[in-house]
Amino acid sequence: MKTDVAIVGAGPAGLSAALYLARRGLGVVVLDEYFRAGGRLAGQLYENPKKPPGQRLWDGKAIAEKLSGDVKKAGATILTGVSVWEIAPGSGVFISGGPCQKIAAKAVLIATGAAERAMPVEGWTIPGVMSAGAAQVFANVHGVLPGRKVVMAGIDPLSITVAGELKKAGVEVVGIFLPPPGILAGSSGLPQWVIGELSRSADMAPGTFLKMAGKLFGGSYREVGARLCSLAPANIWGIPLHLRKAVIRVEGEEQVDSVLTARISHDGKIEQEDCRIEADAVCLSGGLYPLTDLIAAAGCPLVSMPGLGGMVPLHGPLLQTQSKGVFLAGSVTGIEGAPVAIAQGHLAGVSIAAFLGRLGKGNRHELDRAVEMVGQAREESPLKFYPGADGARKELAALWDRWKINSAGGNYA
Amino acid sequence: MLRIKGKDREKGREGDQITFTFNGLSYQGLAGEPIAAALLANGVRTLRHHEKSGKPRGIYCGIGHCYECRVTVDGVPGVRACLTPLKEGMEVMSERAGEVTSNEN
Repeated sequence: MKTDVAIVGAGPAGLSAALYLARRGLGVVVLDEYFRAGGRLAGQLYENPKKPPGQRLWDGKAIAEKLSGDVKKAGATILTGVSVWEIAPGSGVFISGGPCQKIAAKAVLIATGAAERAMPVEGWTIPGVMSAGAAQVFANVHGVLPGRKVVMAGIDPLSITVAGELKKAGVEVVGIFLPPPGILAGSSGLPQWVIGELSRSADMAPGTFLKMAGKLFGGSYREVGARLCSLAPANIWGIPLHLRKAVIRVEGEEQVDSVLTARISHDGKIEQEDCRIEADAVCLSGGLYPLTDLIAAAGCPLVSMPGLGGMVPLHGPLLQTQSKGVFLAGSVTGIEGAPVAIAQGHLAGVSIAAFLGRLGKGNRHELDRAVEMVGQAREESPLKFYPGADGARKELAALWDRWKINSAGGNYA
Repeated sequence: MLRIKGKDREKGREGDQITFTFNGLSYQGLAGEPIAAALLANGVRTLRHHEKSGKPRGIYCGIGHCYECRVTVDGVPGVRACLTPLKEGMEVMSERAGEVTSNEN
């Protein structure tokens, strides 16, 4: 199959780029491993308090349906159930599960989004243990609950949101606990760090549960201190949130029947085993990280940016990479919400049109406008997944400039 | 049942009730939902047994990334149950210890 642009990922970023490019008259093929387009939009439903009244509802499912419908109407092809294994910069992508093995394309957009960081704990392979994101997909998208009595391990915006959604759907959420302490949990196993992250990221969060958490921890230092000293759980709408207890083992033979918790010291060490809690499902949450496998295979350097969720591909302000003709959009550039991904997808679309010489004279302002729209989407974003995102983006921009000067033969030392 | 009441109709996405088998037993599911969702709704948590240890394994990531949910569908091995839509009459089988060679440790 031959086209102008191959887009990997039919989530908000990939679809919005496809829409722009197809409307410009370019050939576009969008590829996704899931059997339905829309990516993680499908499970999202919340109100954004930063938007004017009347525009606050974010119905991800409806947005995904409209976007993919518009993309098809504009003439792009969406192939679902297709895995992309390799990018050949300048020539296309290699796939399995589709009508052919290679999509030849002049430009490639990587919009692979994010994956959840694994959070292993003893017994985590027992059936009934799943990631927080999996529980969200099964409950919100497919209408199937992970269990009747669920324990959540890992305290972050995603885990609190999912716990709230499960409770609303009728699940008994026994409690939200710290992840098992150790090298894998790192600072996310430290009570004080968790409080700091939540208070910074959740004050304007969508969804009542997360907002409650923000208020709970956004208070004075004295309150935070008291919370740290207390072994009693905080309470978010009837769900106990344990800042001094961690899940240290999941138990059960054929499936989960209980978890073992332990008391955790201020500096994140196990003080003593606490109790065994009955449960038929456990959700583990280790946070999201940019899904960079493909872009790394394409030879693009990755840089460590904890403020963006982990390793991110080095990229420029127009979402271009060091590989000519390979562009990025969405959470693969750093963990952010769907509205930012949509704005980035549009920018990548304009940027790719310019790269292919199809933007047209007098349309350069579209690029500036698209950059502005990404900034605006960030400002209106109700949830910051990682508090250090702004600083990390500046650092990344500086690294890109240094690389450009260096690759042009300049001296940046 | 772990299926949220009224959710299928409310969402209006998945299709009709259909019948499929898992390890020879007959189950009901909704056409078009992932095989993993249909099995979970029926209370089936164990999708396969580990190739070396024989220990039970089920859904982990739910988005095709971890490959823990691989099953044999209509004779095709290594199919991810979380990514594969359910169809009428599908024959789904666990991959049991010793049946499939694997590099997994």
